[in-house]
Amino acid sequence: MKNNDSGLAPEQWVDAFADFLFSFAITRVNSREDAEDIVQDTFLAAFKNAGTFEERSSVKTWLTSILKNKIIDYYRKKSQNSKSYEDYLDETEASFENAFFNQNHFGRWKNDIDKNYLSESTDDYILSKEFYKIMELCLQKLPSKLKPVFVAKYMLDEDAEKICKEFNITSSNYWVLLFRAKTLLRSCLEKNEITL
Amino acid sequence: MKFINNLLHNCEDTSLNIIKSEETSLPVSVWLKMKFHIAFCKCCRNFNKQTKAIDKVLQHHFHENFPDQETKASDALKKRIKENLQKM
Repeated sequence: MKNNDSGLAPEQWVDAFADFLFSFAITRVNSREDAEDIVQDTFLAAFKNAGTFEERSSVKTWLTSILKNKIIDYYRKKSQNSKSYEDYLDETEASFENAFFNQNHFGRWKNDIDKNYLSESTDDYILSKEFYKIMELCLQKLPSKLKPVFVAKYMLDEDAEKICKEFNITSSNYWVLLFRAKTLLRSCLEKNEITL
Repeated sequence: MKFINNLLHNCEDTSLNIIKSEETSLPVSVWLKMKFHIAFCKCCRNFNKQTKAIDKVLQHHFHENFPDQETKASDALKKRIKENLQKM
């Protein structure tokens, strides 16, 4: 069966899909300039490979999958330019632990996580716009070193093994990265009075 | 005594293991320690629930676009892309 958009000539792709792809990219990289470059690279790559496109998926789906890979490339490049994950985790270990755990007391949570949680309407609420605004904000606040792995895990649905390979990190470092990112995110949501 | 204290009070290890257990299976001894700690620790119990809710939100966040939140690509960008495509 032919897909709705497969009749479009490649020349028409930009007008048909640039808005969608740009909007997809900007919520994931948080920089207008970078999102624009990524979208442009996506179209260039798609044009080069237009011959290999098979009409099993729609053009939109196909372009989106190229875009996702470009986003991961972007994050990978970014993290290669800076410190290694190993060094980063070592250097920030003490300040992370001091912020959240009581070292004199076997590592108990410093501040109790005791707000009442998961009301009946949670499902509706966490999908609401208000919640997403705060979530975006908290995601933006994540240290840039923690973010790439997070994006790879959730956006591409990649498993631990593959992410470790892509970012060249050990699995124990992967768990620590995830743990810290989630702890920070959770605490940011709580500070914004979201107790979920 | 140290072992018991560690078991009861080490939220840091427990919460790290909670994160791990979402994606992979833990060795039995580690899993038991985690479960035991959670049974006595309200904070880690809440952490466990919250991290699962956050998971759900993030899945959604990275997969869906709210149609009415779409940020349009600028005309300048579209023009630039088209020009570059013609150069190919």
